[in-house]
Amino acid sequence: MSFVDYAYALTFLVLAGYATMLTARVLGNDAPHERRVIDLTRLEREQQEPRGEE
Amino acid sequence: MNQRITHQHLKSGVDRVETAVTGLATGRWPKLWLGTGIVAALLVLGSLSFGYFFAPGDVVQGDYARILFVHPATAMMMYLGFGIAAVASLAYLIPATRRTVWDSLAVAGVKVGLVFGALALATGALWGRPVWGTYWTWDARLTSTALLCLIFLGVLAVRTLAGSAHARATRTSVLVLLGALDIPIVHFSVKWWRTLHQPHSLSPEGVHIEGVQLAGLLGSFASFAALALWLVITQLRVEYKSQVRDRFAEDEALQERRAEQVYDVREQSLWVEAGSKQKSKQKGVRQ
Repeated sequence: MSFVDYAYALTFLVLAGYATMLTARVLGNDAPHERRVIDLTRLEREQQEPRGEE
Repeated sequence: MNQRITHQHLKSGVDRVETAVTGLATGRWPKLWLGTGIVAALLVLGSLSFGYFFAPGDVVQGDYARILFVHPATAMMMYLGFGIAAVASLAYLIPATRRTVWDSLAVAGVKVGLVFGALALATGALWGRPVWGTYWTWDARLTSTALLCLIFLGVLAVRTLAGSAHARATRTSVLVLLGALDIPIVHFSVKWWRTLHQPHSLSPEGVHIEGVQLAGLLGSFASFAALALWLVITQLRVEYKSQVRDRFAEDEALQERRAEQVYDVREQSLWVEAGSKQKSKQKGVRQ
């Protein structure tokens, strides 16, 4: 294997790993027990209200 | 037709963008999100396969020219991530458009930009070793890119400092905008300073590659952009939910504390009352 092959392997592994990790977190967030923690109506309310000015 | 862009037009345009971004942050279109992710992954896989298996070697660099289909695209996606972060930070700093979702988008852009930035530096080093004879040199492009990544890494570090959610978001936004000033320096460094890194292959002055290599390079830009945008959206979903969760946890903690304070005040007033009764009793004894 040449150095450029390593560059391809590294790019593939990092991007695949990162995408998998994020997908798992999103699917985990969408799991029923997480939905109980933050119900979507609250998220909807968050969307409507100006935040950050306290 | 005389159409003037009024303040109202601008406001409704910004509102539409904000509604769309919030929709993405709350996972409103799950099938679209999943479908886009699969398509983006396939595109990148196709682009990498093309570079690895089918792209022809170069006359001068030989096999090492295949870095062309990985390294420039990762560097461009670093710009994209940090650029999205800069736009979102600006939206947060303007009081009329200030929303939590812009702060979440800024963080998502920074994180995705950092992943691609690290890849750009690493793939460049792996190519530099056989072609330049070194993994690293204090070249203008390399140094400014490393500095850019360090600045944005600093942004994530500063977010861990104590303070309210608003203070944290404001600090982040200001630092991201300051860090974004380094993006044009990185991009034009090969033009402004003649150091080791090669100049632009594609620029308004001319295109210095052609044929299969040009098609492969443009294909890698398009496929990596699709994946980078999907990663930003996905990271945004994670960040937004985590920020909302923190906010509700904070609200609940505040309510609990307030309840404790009421209890404390009642308890204190009982103590004061009991104390004053005791004092008046003692005074009575003396009298």
